[in-house]
Order: sequence, then structure tokens, then C-alpha cells
Amino acid sequence: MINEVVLGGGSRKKIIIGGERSLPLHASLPEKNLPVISHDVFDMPIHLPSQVRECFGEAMNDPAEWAHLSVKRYKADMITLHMVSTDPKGANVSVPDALKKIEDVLQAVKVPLIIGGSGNPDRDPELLEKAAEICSGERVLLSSVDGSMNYKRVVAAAKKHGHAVLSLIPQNLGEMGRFNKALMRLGLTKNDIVMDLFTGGVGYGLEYSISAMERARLQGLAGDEGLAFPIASAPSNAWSAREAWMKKDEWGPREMRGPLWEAATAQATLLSGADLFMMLHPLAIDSLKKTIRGINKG
Amino acid sequence: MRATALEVYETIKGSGYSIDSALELSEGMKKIEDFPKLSLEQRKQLDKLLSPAVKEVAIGPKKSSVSVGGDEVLYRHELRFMNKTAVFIGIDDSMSPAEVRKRIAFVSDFFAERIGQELRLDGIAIRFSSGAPDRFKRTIESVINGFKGPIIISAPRLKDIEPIIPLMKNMRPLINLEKEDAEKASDLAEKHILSLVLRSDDPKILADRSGKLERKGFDRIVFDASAGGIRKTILNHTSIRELAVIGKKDYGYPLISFLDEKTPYEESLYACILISRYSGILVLNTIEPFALLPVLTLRQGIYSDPRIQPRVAPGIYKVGEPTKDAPLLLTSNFALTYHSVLGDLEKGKVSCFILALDTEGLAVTVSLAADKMTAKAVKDALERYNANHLVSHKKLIIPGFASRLAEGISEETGWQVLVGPNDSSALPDYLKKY
Repeated sequence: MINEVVLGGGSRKKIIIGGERSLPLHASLPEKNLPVISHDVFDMPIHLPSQVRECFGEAMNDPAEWAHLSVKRYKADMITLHMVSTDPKGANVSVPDALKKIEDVLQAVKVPLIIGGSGNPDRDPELLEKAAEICSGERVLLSSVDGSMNYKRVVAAAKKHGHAVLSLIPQNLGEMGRFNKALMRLGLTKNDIVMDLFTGGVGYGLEYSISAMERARLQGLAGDEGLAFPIASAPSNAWSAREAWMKKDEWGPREMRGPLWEAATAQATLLSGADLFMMLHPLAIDSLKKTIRGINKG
Repeated sequence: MRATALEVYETIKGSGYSIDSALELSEGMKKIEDFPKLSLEQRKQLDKLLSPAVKEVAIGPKKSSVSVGGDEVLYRHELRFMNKTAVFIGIDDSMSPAEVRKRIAFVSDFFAERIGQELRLDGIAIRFSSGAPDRFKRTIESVINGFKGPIIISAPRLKDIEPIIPLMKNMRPLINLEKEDAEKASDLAEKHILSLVLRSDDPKILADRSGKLERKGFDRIVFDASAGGIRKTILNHTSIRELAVIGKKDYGYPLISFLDEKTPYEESLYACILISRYSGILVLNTIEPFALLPVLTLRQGIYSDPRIQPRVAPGIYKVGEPTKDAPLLLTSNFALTYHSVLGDLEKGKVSCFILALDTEGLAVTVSLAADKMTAKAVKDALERYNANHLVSHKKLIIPGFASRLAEGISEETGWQVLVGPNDSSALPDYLKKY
């Protein structure tokens, strides 16, 4: 069986992911825990396609407001807060200032959270360590760790404050398995790790993601302890495909194309075993929810 | 499961073909026809040995047919998915003649190019719903006149099909009876080389029926195992493929799905699910490009060979409308890397040149580790692709990950080397300061 990971609790809703015994619909057993979608929120205005910006408007200037809108209007079950402003090569917002924004989001919504760094391996350990402290008791998912950073700091903080950790190793099962085992040797339990093998959009390497996920899930089910974790997938990556955002008449309206591209990407990784989705467009999210209901009922 | 290369080699020994040929045959990279020196007896044996778990069925006129099925595995990483899902567009005989003409032209003309491959539609599925046999006949005639590819014919009963068979000489259509068992048409199908759709929401019943037909010598069969709703349909598809792969021959036929969703958007999403889960033929109603594009793009990816690192031809590519002062950027010729870089530059509306170095399809970081991206290789590539004719400057921007090559490239080529960002998403901003 795939390990179960609890997210949330404390002052917020609790969600459980994982627990599968097969790949979706390879057996008629009902899934124990339905996959969950976490809505992306960025802590500063970043370049996003106009179809996405239109859904959130002014709220995009304030992560707490954005998160609130996502829960209230778009019925988000989870929120991913991407602290992109902390990148020292970018806006370089200090960690104490960044923590205030996290604090605001913690107050604004009562759904489980994913706290993401900027992807800067020098700054993220410090940020995630401090974020773990102020989110103590709320069991967030700290996103993400890999071998290029001082992940031990993040793991120690996760252990101390009761959080889960997302390991991100693109499409490399051997390395992913070894890294997850290393995380467990540092004291995380099998119920504290979610793994991300990277999701490329339709036409941009999605098939590698599909095969990596299917192999990981099959190996996990067959008893490989390094890979028996719930799988996170970020179909929002599909927005980097020009088919999703580019204005081009012969491709038809991009208002439809964009969400469709993200939803089609998400559906494919859903069928390959993904448990936790990080997504951007409300219409794409609704479509995936419908598919999740469809494959689990009736 | 398909025979191993050694088993195949045992059969072809003495024909002058090597173990490499045996491997090509066992892995399905080449077909028996590709080896003319084989004896008749060897061909027969190979045919048996190599018959795939899912039977391969060809639909359409010999010169422009589409093959479906031929699969061996449950997951693409185990080998590859074979014949890509054939996408048919529906034409209903209740449609206006203008709409019929529009759809015929759409299917014939639809074309998109991705990573050097053509994305096209495969055929037309004509459905008799008007209740007027003359109208049905006229619709078929206009399709046959305007379209030379594979055709599927759907009608309630055998008696609706019989009168139009003479129109379809040598066209080898797939016949779908909506209200009668396909077995009724098996004699007709045998005589006129038609393929037949067997329909049931119960895989066991499909296998019983295909078994009976096969014992009569008829095997041009396609299953419609749709079961109302995505869950049951996909469970059916998956169990049929599972049983076929473990060698239960009666389950080993391609699957067809006739879609009936409310909107093009929903149809597109359902089609994408069916492509991920074993549909060999999709019959779609929509001709909205926005809805077809993800379907055909996903199909291209899922049916690509996972054993081959996809790559672009090495060389210098133009992005936008670069002038001679435009920047020149180095990257690998791993298709995904190249297309990511290209996508990011287009998104940033940048005009420039990309030098896709021959890294044998390896990504930048891997090619650095494997010594495929080296100062010498960059020098050779700049010369081979006439970089100094394309640009008037001597400045090369290299990926951040390759920064350790900066000095070496500079010494080797005499060019000024600028270290760009690690990730191409930062390129547009980087180039603003260029």
C-alpha cells in the first residue's frame, strides 16, 4: 500500500492523501482517499497568462486576499503559497518580511497549506525552516527539498514542528528513492513525505512524467520503500506551453485552450497515480474535480 | 507476450539475417515484409510468433489505411504503445450538405506540425440517423468523393448497410451496427473485407463473441466496451487490455470509443482520458481546433517511443525575426530542452538565434556530465553552422549550468562568452539587459 500522509489539522481542515493499492482503475476497488487539488497563490505579482489573471484580478496583489478568494469563490480544498519574492536574485524580500505574508495567509484561510520557496537553494532552507516554526501545529507541506540545498535544516524543522515535506527530483526514480530514504534516515517517517517527479505539460514532456509516475507507483506498490509515497503533480506547468497561452486564431480561443491544456495535463497524471495536484486556473480545477468524481463513482 | 529476439533468431536462422534483424522484429521496429529473403515457411512461423497481444486491424483503402491495435503492454514504459489512436470525425447524415462538405474539407486539410512531426486526423465516421436511406446514400457519396481516407459507417441495422456496400468497393470500412449484433453482418464483412464493431458493456460477453467469430475465421474486430460513464468504461478498457496482455486471445482486439459529450471542451477532456487508457479509435464530434489540439498533442506524446531520447536536429534555429545583431544562445538538442527554451523565448517575444548543440539528445546538465557539451564541440558547431555569417557579433550566451565551460569556449573560439540563467524561463528578462 502507498503511505498515507495527513495534511492540515490544528486550526484547519484535515486532509489525507495516499493509501492506494493499485493504479487508478487497474482494479475496481474504491480509492480510500480521493486526490486533492491545491490552488496556486504567489506572494507577489508574477508574469501569468491573461486568462489566469482575469480570474483573480486585484487579489493577486495580496497573497492572503488571493488565498481567501480561492477558497471562497473557487472552493479550494488546499492552498499552495509560493514565496517567490524571497529569491535573492529577484525581489529579495527578507525572510522576516516573508513570514508576515505567510502569517496573513494562515489567518485568511482554514484549509491545509503547502508552503513553497522560491526555488533558490541558498534561501529556501532558511525560509522553510522559519515557516515551519510559525506554522507549528498546522501540519503544512514544506515545498520543496532536493539534494542541491541544505535539506537537513528543513527536515529538522519539519520534525520539530510536525510538518510534511515534498521531495522534488525530476523523472529520476533511482535518485528519488535514495533521497526519500535519506530523508527517513534523518527522522521523517513514511507518513511525512510526498514526492514530486515533475509534471511537464501536454506536448512538453508529459509522457516522461506519466511513465516516471507509473513506474514509481508500481515499484512503491511492489514494496520499494523509497517510492511508496503519495505523488504530487503540478499541472500548472502546462501554462508554459505556448498552446496554452499564445494568441493564435487557427488554434481557436485561448480562453478555452489554456484551461483545457492544464486540465488535460492533470487528467493524465491523475490516471498515472498522482494524489496531490498543484493547479492554477479555476476552470481547469473544476474539470479535474469532475474527472476525479467520475473515475471514483458510478 | 511477444517473442524474444532469440526466439525470433531461431526462426530466421539460415536466411542471411542477423540477430540485429531478429531484435528489430521482436521489438516491432520492423515488420516481416521488411525482410524479403525470408522463406514462406519462416514467414508463417514468424507471423505466429510475432502476433501481438492486441490484434492489429487495418481500416480503409490499402493505400491510405490506418492500422489500430498491435499492442503488447499495459504501460508504455514496458515497451511502447504501438499504433497511435486513430482519430475520426463524425458526420451525421442529418447534417446539412454544407456542414457535411465543411467537415470533409476539415478532415482532409487539418494539419499541424509539432517537433518535426505531422499531426493529422485519420478518418471520417458517417452515421445514419436521418431515417431516410437516400439521404444516407448521398452523404456517403459526398464523403467518398471528397475524402480518400478510412471510413467508419454507423447505422442501426444490417438492412441499412447492405444497400450502400456496393459504393464502398476496396474501401475496407469499419461497420458499426447500433441496434443489432455485429455477428449478423459477418458474412457480408467476410465477403467485402469489412471490419466490425462488437459492442457490450461486459468484457466477458465481448470475448465470448469475438471467440465465436474467430473460430469461424473472422477476426477483423474492434470492441466498443463503453459502459456509460468514465469509471466503468475505463475499468472495462483496462481489464480488457490486462487480459489481452496475459495472452487471453479473445480479449485481444482494439477498442473504439464513440464520444457523446455536451461541449467540445468536455469532449476533448474525455478523449484525452481515452487516449491514456487504450482507445485505439476515437470518434469525435467536434471540429473545434482548440479541442482537437490537446487530443492530437497528447496522442503524439503517449505514443512516442520511450526508449528513444527525443531530439531536434543540431543546428542554429531562428526565433522570431532576428537581425544580425540578435543574441545567439547555446543549448542542447534534447527536444524537451530545446522546446522549453524556444517556448520561453517566444513567450518573452524575443528575437534571437538558438544553437542546438549535438549532445546526442541529452539535457544540458547530463551532457555536461557526459562530456557531450564541451568547448571543442561548441567551436565545431559554430563553424559547421556558419555562426559568423548569421550574426555580426562574436558573443555567445551559454546556459548557467554550463558556466564552467565559459573560459574554455572563449579560448577555443575567440568569442566572448556570457553566462545566462540556469532556467530558460529567466531568459527574456536576462536578454533585456543584453
